[in-house]
Amino acid sequence: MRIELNNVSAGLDSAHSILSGLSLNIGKGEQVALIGPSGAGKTTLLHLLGLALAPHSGYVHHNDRDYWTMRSGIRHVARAQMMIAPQTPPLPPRQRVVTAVQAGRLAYMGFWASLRAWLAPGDLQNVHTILAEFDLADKLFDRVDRLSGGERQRVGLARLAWSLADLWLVDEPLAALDPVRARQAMQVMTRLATEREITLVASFHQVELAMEFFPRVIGLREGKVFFDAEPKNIRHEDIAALFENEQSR
Amino acid sequence: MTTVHLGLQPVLRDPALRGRVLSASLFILAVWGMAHLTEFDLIGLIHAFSDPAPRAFILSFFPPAHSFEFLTLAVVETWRTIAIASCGMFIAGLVGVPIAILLTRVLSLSSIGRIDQGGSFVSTLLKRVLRSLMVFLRSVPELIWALLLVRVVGLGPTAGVLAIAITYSGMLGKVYAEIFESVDRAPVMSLLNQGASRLQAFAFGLLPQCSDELISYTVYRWECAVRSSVILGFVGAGGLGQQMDLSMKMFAGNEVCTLLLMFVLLVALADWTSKTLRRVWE
Amino acid sequence: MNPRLVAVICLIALVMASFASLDLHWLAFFEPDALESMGRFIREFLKPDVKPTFLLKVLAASFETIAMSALSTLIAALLGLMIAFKASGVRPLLNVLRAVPELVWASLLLIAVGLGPFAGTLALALHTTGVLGRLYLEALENQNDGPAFALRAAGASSAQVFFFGRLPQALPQLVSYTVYRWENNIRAAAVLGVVGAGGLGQMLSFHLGLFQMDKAATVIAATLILVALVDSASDIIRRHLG
Repeated sequence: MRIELNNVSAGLDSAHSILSGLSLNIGKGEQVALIGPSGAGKTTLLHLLGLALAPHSGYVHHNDRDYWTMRSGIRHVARAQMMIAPQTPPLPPRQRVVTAVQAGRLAYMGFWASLRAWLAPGDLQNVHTILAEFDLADKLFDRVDRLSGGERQRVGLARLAWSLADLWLVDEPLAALDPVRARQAMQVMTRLATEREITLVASFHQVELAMEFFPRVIGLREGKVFFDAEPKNIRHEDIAALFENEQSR
Repeated sequence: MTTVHLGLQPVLRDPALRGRVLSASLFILAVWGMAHLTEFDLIGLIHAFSDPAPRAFILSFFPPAHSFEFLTLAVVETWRTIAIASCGMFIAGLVGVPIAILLTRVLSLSSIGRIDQGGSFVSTLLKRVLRSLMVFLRSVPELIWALLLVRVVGLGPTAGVLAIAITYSGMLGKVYAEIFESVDRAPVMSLLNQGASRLQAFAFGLLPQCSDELISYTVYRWECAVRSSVILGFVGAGGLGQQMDLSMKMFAGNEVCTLLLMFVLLVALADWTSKTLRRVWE
Repeated sequence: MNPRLVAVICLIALVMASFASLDLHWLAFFEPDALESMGRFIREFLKPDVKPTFLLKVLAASFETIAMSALSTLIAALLGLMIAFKASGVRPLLNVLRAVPELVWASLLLIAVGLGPFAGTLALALHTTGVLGRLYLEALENQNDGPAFALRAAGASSAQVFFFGRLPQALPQLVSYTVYRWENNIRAAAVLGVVGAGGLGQMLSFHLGLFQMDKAATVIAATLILVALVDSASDIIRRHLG
C-alpha cells in the first residue's frame, strides 16, 4: 500500500485543524514510526490514513486513489485493506479472545460466516498460532475482561496480525506493556510486517524503542512534520526540540 | 481448554461449543413445544390476511367514524373512563393512607423508646397481616377483580371503580408506607414524645415532609389507572374500553379506529396532566 | 393565584365531577339479593374445586399460559433486536406497538386468527416488541463506541459491527430487560384469555360466566401461583446474570 498526503489539514472542524498543511509519502512495505508530544496529531494522522477521517483540505491517496472522492460504498470496501489498532484495545469486555481475534477478518467474511464465527469459532489452530506469537496461546478461550491490561493490548495486536490488511496503523501499542513484553511485541510486529510486505505506521511514546526498530521516524509537532529521517540522522537536540514545552500542554 | 493429542499438534476444541449446542437444541425443543401449546399457526396467519372477512375489517378502518353522534359518544365514554379512574384512585387513596399510617413504624406508639426491639406483639402482628393483605390485593390482576365484581354488582362503572380501588389501594398503601419510612423521624418523634396523638404527629410532623412525593406518586398511578380503566371496559366495566369491545363485536372498523385515536389522545392527555401536576408541586 | 391552590381545586373538582357523572349504584351492593349472592359466592369461593380431573384441566391451561408468555417474549426479543438494529426512523412504529394495550391487540387479532392462544401470543408479541424495541434501542445507543468504531474502520459491514461491536457489551442488559418483561407478560397472558385468547383467563371467564365460584377460585389460585413462579424464576435468572 503506497500512501501520499498532500497539504492535508484534518481533525476537529474546518475552522480548527489538528493537522495542517501536512505532506507525506510512504512507500509500499515501509515501516514508519510516529513520535511527538501529546496533541501533536499522531492519532488524527493514523485515523486519516485509515480512511476513518476525511481531510478538510488537501488529499490523501492510497495506491494513487483518492477514496474521499468516491462513493461511500467503494470507500468502505477499501477499508478492508487497512486496519487501525487503537490505543485502547477495542475489545468488548465479555467477548472471548478467540472471537475478538477473529473479528480482525470480518470485512472478508460474509454475514453467515460471521454469525458462525460468533457462535462456534472455527480455524482454532491458526488463531492459537497467532496468539502464541504474542505469548497468549493459553488465553485462547478466556474472556477479554479477565485479562490484564497488557494482555488485552497484546490481543489487540494479535487481531491486527490476524487481519488481511496490507496497511497497519498502530496507535501507542506499548502503553500497557512492561519493557520486556514491549520489545517482544515490537519484534513480532515488525517481523510479521516485513514477512508480509505490510506498510506499517505506528505511533509511540517510547522514543528509544521506536528509533531502534524502525528505519524511518517522523516527528510530529502541532500538526506538522517536525522531522522525517532515519534514526541515525536524528540528533538528541532534535528530539528535545520536538518535545519542548510538553509539560505546559 | 480441551485438547486431544494426535501426534505433535494438539487438536483444539472450543470448550463452550458443547454447552452452546446443547442449549441451542434445548431452546429449539422448547420453542417447538411452546408453538405447539399456543397453537401457533404462521400459515394460518398469512391466510387470515388474504381472507375476505379480516381484510374487509381492516379496510373498514378508514375513514374513521366521524359522525357527530359517534364523536359525542366517544368523548362521553372517554370522560367516563377518566371518571372511573379518578373515583377508583380517590377511594384507593382513602384506604391506602390509613393503612400506610398503621404500617409505618415511625408512628408506632408502642415502639417509642424501644426502637431496636420494634413494637408490641399486637402491633407487629397487625403490620404483618396488613402487609400480606396489601400484597394479595396487588397480585390479583385488576381484570380478574373486575370480572368478579361484574358478577356481583352487575355491568357498568361500579365494577370498574371498585376493581381499581382494590388493586390500587394495595399499591398506594405499600408505597405510601415506604415514603413515610424514608422521612426524617425527628419531627415526628418529638411530637409523639410531647404526647401528641398519632394523627397529630402524622399531620404536623410527617405529612409536610413528604407531601410532594406522595402527590407525585399518586398522580403517576392515576395515569396508570386511566389506562387500566380502558382495559376493564372490555369485561363490562364501562367507558372507552366497553365501547371498543362493542364496536369490535359489530365489526365496525371505522368506529374502532376512532376509538383507538381517542385512546391515544386520552393517554397523551393523562400524561400531560400528570407531568403538569407534578411540576406544579415541585 | 398560587398554582398549588389551583391544582388542588382542579383535583377536587375532578373527583367530584367523576362521582357525579357516573351512575354508581353503591346501594345495589347492600340490597338483600346482592348480599345473599355475595355471601354465596364467598362461601363457594372458599371451597375451591380440587378434583383431579379439574386440576388436570387447570394444569393444561397453566402450561398454555406459560407458553403464551414465554413464546411471545421470545418473538418480541427477536423482532425488537431487528428493529433496534435498523435504529433510524424506527421510533414511531415502536410507539404505536407500545401504546396499544395487549388486550386491544388481542381483540383485534381474534378477528383475524380466531379464538385461542395464538391470538394472545401474537398480541403480546406485538405489544412487547414495542416495549423491548425501545429499551434495546436505548441500551445499544448507550454503549461505548470504541469496538464499533474499530470494526467499522476495518471495513466490517453494519451487521457485523452490530454483532461483534455493539451487541456483546449490551447483551446482559438486554437479557435482563427481556426476562423482566416476561414477568409482566405472564400476568398479561393469564388475563388475555378473558376476551377469548386461551389459557387460564379463558377458563376463568368461562366458569365465572356460569357462576361456578369454586372452579373460579381454583383458576385464580393457579394464576397467582404461576405468577409467583415466574417472578422467582425471573429473579434467579437476573441475579445469575450479575
